[in-house]
Amino acid sequence: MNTALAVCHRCGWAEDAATRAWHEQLAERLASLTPPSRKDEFWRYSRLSACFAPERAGRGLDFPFPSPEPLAGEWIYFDQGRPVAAHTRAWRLRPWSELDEATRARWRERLEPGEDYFSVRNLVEADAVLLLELEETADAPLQIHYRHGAGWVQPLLLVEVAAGARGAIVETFASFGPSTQNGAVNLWLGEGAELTHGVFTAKAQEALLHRVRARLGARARLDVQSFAATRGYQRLEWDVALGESAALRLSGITHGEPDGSTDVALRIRHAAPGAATDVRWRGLVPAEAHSAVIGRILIEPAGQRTDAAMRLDHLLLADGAAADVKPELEIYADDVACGHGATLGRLDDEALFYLCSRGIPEVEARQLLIDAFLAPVLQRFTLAEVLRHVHSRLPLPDDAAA
Amino acid sequence: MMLTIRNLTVAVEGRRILDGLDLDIAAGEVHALMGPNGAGKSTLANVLAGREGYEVLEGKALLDDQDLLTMEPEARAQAGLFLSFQHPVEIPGVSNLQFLRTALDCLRKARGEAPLDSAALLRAAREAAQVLGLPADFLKRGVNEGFSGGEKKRNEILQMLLLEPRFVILDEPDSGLDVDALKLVAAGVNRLRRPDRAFLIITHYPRILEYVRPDRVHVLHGGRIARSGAAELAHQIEAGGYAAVLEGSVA
Ligand SMILES: Nc1ncnc2c1ncn2[C@@H]1O[C@H](COP(=O)(O)OP(=O)(O)OP(=O)(O)O)[C@@H](O)[C@H]1O
Ligand SMILES: [Mg+2]
Repeated sequence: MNTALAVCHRCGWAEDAATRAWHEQLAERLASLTPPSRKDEFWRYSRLSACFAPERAGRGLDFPFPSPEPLAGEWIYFDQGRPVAAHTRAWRLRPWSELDEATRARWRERLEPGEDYFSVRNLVEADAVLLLELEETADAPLQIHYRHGAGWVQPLLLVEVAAGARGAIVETFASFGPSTQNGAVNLWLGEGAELTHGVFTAKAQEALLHRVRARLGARARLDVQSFAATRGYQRLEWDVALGESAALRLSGITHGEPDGSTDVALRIRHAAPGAATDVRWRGLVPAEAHSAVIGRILIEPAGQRTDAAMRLDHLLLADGAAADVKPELEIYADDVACGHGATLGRLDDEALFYLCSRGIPEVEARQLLIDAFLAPVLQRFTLAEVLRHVHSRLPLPDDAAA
Repeated sequence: MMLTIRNLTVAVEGRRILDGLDLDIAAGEVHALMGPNGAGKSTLANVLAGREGYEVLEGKALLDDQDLLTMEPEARAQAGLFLSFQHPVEIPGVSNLQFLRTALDCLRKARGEAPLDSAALLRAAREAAQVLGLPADFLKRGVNEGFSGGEKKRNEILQMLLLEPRFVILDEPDSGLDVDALKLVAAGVNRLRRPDRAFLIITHYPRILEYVRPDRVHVLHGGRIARSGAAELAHQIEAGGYAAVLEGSVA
């Protein structure tokens, strides 16, 4: 299939009767909700006020972005939350208006947001709702590029990977002006499906809230590769539920920048036996930057023979660097192998001196140690599209010769 | 003189460890530095290399005519100084190859030379690793990561061979080494001996001095060089302990 999307205004969201009724309920619910505060456990380290700065308020208006440049392989551009151009082959794209009622009903159920303010608001104010489906195995990743420039921008993506299908998506973000993007992507992986999911936020300077909700069917595998850098505020959330013998590997790097705050929240739930989770997040925090990672793995009574590991480590590069890290395991099953840990460290002076004593200037010696700190996560990055972006940000060691 | 130390007085945490130390080492020479535990041998080595945490109260140290004590550690290395550490640190995640390449590039750049090409470096590093009996996966592994005590010492020698410094301080290169390794280390030093290069070997044992004949042996005691002599001095120490050789010296 080869799609060239015309501008899809809201994609028919809430125009059918059943969705409209649901939408009205959600709007009522939104009216009764307030944004989270630091009293909420999953927001305790957040510097959320940036999202509500007056210059970023209001529904997103059109914004004069440069015209989208075609990317390699399959791709979609979302400008101000709406799909404006796409090229796909293996992936099928359908706006909400083209879905049959059974599919819509299924997704309404899946999208039920509970009392989460940003999720409800995203559903009520969504700029567009698009379903991406993969039935087979796609060789190249689907690149999803978001651009936001004014006001509140709220894309909503539904992704369905059919049983046994295998593919990858890479989300990248670029901000062009005072704006808050409150976006959501919902990943539904069928039995044995495999998805590699890249999330790269380095060009985001404004406020960005991005929620990934993933449901993994039996034996499905999700491999997350995320690189987060910002000079503004960003919050990246994963809410993942694993089916029987499903596997989640979540690898992330926060590459802090001065005045930026990156806030990562992970909620992972093992509700069936035999699932495996392996989380590794590393944060690099320079002066005047803030990084927070809260991770919770919940093993329900049905989650026997679970294997779960979570490591959240931070390297503080200067005084005035701030990090908050909290890994948690909540276990209600008895036959499990779980481990978690977190560190907040600084560069090792002894190692630094050793390197300098061999003639390496301090700046370079520090970079070697920083690269070494990030290496265990970088080694897990396999998506060329993510690596290309990462390489443009980090001078990486080349060990190819060894 | 290649190295000239005058009246060097150094305190650590407010305590004087070196107290008016004088030492001269000429190009082409090998000197040994001995002395009881805690005498300040490593302190001297570290101060010369530029480690933080030492307070230089008085004195100076010149390498050729450059005032070492005012230079950054990397500048001292670029001036030709090399310290083989008594306790080399482990640096997980920085591979030995990457480390060697970076160090060599920096040193060559400082000397105005073009970077060594990767293939040549790889060849030299592999050969040196083999000669020194370092494990085959050595170059890929993190610097000193999981190395045994002896392997760490061999790695210091490997770096010395590849970086080709002009003034080398070896802080107990022989401790924790088996006989074969000791010979390898000594062979490494001998391979580098040249009229325009000098060595200061800190040791407790005369054994390494059998393989690397020193021109002078010094005993550090009371914060300064309390006794100096020819190679035989090391044997007197071995036979009679420090008390015997320090008798009558100012302490
Ligand atoms: N960072 C430090 N803090 C406190 N004391 C120190 C420190 N470094 C060295 N010292 C003290 O300075 C003295 C000299 O130590 P140094 O390591 O130089 O001795 P050394 O001659 O090398 O001994 P060894 O033969 O055991 O290696 C010791 O008493 C030691 O405890
Ligand atoms: Mg010592």
